[in-house]
Amino acid sequence: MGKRALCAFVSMPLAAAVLVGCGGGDDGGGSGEGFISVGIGEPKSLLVTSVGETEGHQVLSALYTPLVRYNDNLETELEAAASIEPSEANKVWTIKLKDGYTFHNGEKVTADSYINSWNYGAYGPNAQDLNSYYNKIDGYAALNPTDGSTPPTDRMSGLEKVDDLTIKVTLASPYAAFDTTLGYTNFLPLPSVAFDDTAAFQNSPIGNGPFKMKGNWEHDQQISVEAWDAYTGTKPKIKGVDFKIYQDAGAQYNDVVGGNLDVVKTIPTAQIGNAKSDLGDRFGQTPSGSFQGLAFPVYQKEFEDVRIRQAISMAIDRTAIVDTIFQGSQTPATSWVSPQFPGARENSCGEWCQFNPTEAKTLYTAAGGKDTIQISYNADGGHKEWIDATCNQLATNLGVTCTGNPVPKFADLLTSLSKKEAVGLFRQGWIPDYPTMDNYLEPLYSCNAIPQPNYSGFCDENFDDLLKKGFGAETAEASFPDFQAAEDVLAEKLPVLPMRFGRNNFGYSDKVKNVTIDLFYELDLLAIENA
Amino acid sequence: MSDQNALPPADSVVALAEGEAGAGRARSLASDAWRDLRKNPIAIISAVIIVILVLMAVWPSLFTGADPAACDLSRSLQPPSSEAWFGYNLQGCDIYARTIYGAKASLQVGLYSVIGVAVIAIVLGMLAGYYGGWADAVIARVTDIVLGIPLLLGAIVILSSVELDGVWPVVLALALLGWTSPARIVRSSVISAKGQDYVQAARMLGANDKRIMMRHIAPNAMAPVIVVLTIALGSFISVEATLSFLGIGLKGEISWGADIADATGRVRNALGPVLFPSTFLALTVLAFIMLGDAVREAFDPKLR
Amino acid sequence: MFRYIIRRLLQMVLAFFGTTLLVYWLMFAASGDPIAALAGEKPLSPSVRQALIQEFHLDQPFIVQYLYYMRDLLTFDLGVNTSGRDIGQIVATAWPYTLKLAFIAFIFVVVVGITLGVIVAMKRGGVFDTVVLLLTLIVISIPVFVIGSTLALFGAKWGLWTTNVGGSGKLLAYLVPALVLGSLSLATAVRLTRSSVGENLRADYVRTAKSKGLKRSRVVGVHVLRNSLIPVITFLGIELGGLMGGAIVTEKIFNIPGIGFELAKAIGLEDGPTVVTIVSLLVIVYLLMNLLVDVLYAVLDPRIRYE
Repeated sequence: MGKRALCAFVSMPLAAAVLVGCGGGDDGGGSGEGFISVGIGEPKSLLVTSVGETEGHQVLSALYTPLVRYNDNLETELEAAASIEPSEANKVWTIKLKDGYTFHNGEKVTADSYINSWNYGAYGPNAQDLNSYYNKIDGYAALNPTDGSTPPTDRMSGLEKVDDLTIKVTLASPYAAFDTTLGYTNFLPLPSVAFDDTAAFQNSPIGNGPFKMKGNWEHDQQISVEAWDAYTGTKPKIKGVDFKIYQDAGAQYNDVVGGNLDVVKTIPTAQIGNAKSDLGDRFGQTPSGSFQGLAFPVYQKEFEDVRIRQAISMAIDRTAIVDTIFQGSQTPATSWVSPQFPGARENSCGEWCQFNPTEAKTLYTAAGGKDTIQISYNADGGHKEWIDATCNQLATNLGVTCTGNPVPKFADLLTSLSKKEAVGLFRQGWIPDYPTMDNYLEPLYSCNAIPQPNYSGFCDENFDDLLKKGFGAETAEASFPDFQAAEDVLAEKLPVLPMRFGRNNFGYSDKVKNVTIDLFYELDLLAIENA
Repeated sequence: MSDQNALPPADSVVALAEGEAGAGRARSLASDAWRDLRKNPIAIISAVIIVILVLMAVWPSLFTGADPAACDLSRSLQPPSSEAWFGYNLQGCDIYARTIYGAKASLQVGLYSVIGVAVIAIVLGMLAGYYGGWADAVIARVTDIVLGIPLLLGAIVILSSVELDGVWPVVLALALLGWTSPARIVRSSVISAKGQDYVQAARMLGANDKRIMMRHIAPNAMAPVIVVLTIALGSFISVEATLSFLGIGLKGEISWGADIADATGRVRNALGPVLFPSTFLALTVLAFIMLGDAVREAFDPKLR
Repeated sequence: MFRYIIRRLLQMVLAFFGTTLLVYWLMFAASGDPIAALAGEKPLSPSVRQALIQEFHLDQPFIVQYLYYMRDLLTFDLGVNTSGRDIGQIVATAWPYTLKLAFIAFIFVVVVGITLGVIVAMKRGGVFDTVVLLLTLIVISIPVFVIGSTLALFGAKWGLWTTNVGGSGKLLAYLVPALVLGSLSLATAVRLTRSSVGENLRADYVRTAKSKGLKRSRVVGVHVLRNSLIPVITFLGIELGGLMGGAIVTEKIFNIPGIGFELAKAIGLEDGPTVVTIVSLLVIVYLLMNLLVDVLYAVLDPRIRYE
């Protein structure tokens, strides 16, 4: 029993807690000169194969150096990799690593560091969150039997060590943009010590990146990292980062305004209007890839007629909602793939995403739309305001009664969907992991992504064929027409109505400068400087 | 008088006489109280406020011709005007109309929950306090368990498992989770009343348990309960707001609580959408507590 | 008295099992799909789902899951939650925050509440009485999150106090959240003390004591207070338990990673074992507090005897 555990039991009698002074919040300030503080939420995990959310991803971006990175134009640039070459029509990829990289504990980063990490993540019984991210690699299926049996092997046949610095990856089927996906968390390496005790390891992960852990992960309080002197890549301009863990973005914002925190990555919508006066030019906005939409459950017959879906889409004034509710801090969406992405287009939704109340009303009446509409959403995500606004617009423009139906958590919505309950339209969100069009299209609308995260249950053969064709294209550029055609299928069938693409609305204190957040919600820790 | 035969004749006469005297006293107590209340300005003001609130709840169109559901984003956060006395909220809805129409759900939640709580608390509290022993132990432990269940957890479970419309899920959740504190108060009042001489006297005169509880202990133990219940009524109306804040409040109803919860995040920029429903909520709570106090004092013979 | 306490402690064991069973069942009934809750909006492969289901026995009927949990609990293994974190550690980290908050709030409620209550009871009907009563009413009638968010917002705006209480570590930082947390209890305590003291002031024994020529301060300080504090102590005992149960709203607004926060998070993740552990702990605290209150009864009121 550590000091903390002991404290909690000793301090059960009330008074003792205060006298003994338990509790880990050591000091309010940063870890020292040159350190900056960044607000995050409590990560779910810090093991590379299990970090599927943005908060843990931000911490890993300090501790690890990925094989590839994306530049401002979202082109893939080599980072820890020296070269990545496809052969056999994009089915086999040879990754050569840069020499000289070591882990924070001195262990050399080799092909095995990657192969072992990926095998660990892909092995079903390890139950890693990013398990499905390896499914394009040959041999993935053997590690993940669907009948519940123990896999016969724990190594994917598609991974092969050529020499200490070369990995040969064989894919199950060709994928032209495989090199782009290598920038995501699941393709990071792990040192051999990680596998001895993964639970202990993820409390103090050892990486190959510009920063190393300073102490352990103090759950719900802080994760501290310091610049690593022996790092061979581009070194950061700061001494270290205190990732301060908050429960609420509102509290983060208040602390930045009060000078107790250096960076808040998301300013709550309600405070956007104040941010300009509170922070002046220390309030920043950059585009984000996050997508918000309203989905129709396929099993609800009242939405079966595409005219109903078109009418509902046209009855929504996306611009008014963005301007009023979000004070311009987001962008109205008229496509399913962020126009920022390579190959993506503006307004692929066409006339159906343009506000046209008269046409909407006519179409809705002609298609015999019901006089009540319900929109379900999870109440814990701050969605009420825009759902209510959308509902009010539907009520006014279609002459229906519209009610917002908050469910406590997103998982409750999933349960309702799996039971085929009449939830009505429901909110759907997505943050892409890497800059390829298919990263929006495949998870949300392809048949084999049902039920999660293709919650609406949309399944269209033509769409899936086009995706498959895109994956098999010779180059990433050559796949654009197929993916665009797939997106046109969505415009035709409207399984999900695009509502908004996000923007990163961030703020920072006068102690830092050069603050930027990318399309994937990652704060650039190599660019940020002490002011 | 079902147990008349079991009692010796003399006792039954005494009991009968006492019963008559008791009834007579209650009558005169009630009429005294009524006379007192009519002269008490606080009681009159509270009663008037409550009557107006009830009117609002029953017949909102008497107070406003505006439609609380007619919202237009282009009017978002407009200040008070002759058209909309309290201005418009974020969604561009008329705050005055919403405040008037919100009275119904808020009053229902407060009243129904408090009635539910009172019934559970008085029954369990009296049983525990009067009988003591294992009844007390069992009830006390059940109370502990219910107290130990966090409101959020309990409310989520109840709200997600019942198939009821309107205010009923919230009422059910509040009643099932809110009775513990009043029950404790009832119990401790009963315990101290039980030891009083007049209860001992009644028992010696052969009054049965039910009679002692209803006639002697209940009236004397009620004073603190009324205080707690009137406060509970107010707090239930605001707990409903907190449930909305946590995302598990009323669905599809216009209520003060939900409107306050919606507007709190933007209180720095727009005070009106919080201020007006909050004022009505505060006034309502105020009226009920003041009336409760006045009634209690009027019924308390010791205060004369 | 000793036997009474022993009996109560034994009852506590029963209540503990009752609670764990009830809460486990509540979580079981309320949970849709803990695995889906864990995955959030990201894809989850079927094999991972299967592995997690097996690890946490989610495919078993309710009573089997419960027995698994109890077996671990009775061997002092609180286990890990669905994110792989040690539940004992979660509680051990969160509890001190909640205790600090509860302790300050409770002191505030007791000291200010009883003092104000006694003063207004003695000056019943005066201006001070009316003002205090009105203030308590206003506090009761405004939802606590409105008071909390407003204070947090303006505190940050003018740099008066921090809203990152959990991270600041200073005891002083807990003052404002404690005021917010304790405000409702305070208002109730004032009103209850006022009514209780008021009643006792008119009791026969006070008249006797006064006519005996005792000083007013002694009459109030010894006789009235002692008798009128019984309902107040009941109330305070319960409130203390409530305060220690963590305050989901206050902890959220002021960023305090206490029990309330962990509980809310666990509920959100449908993390049954964590919820049951925390709630069971809370119930034990309640039970101990209540035992304490009942023993205090006997001390304060000689008419009450436990045998």
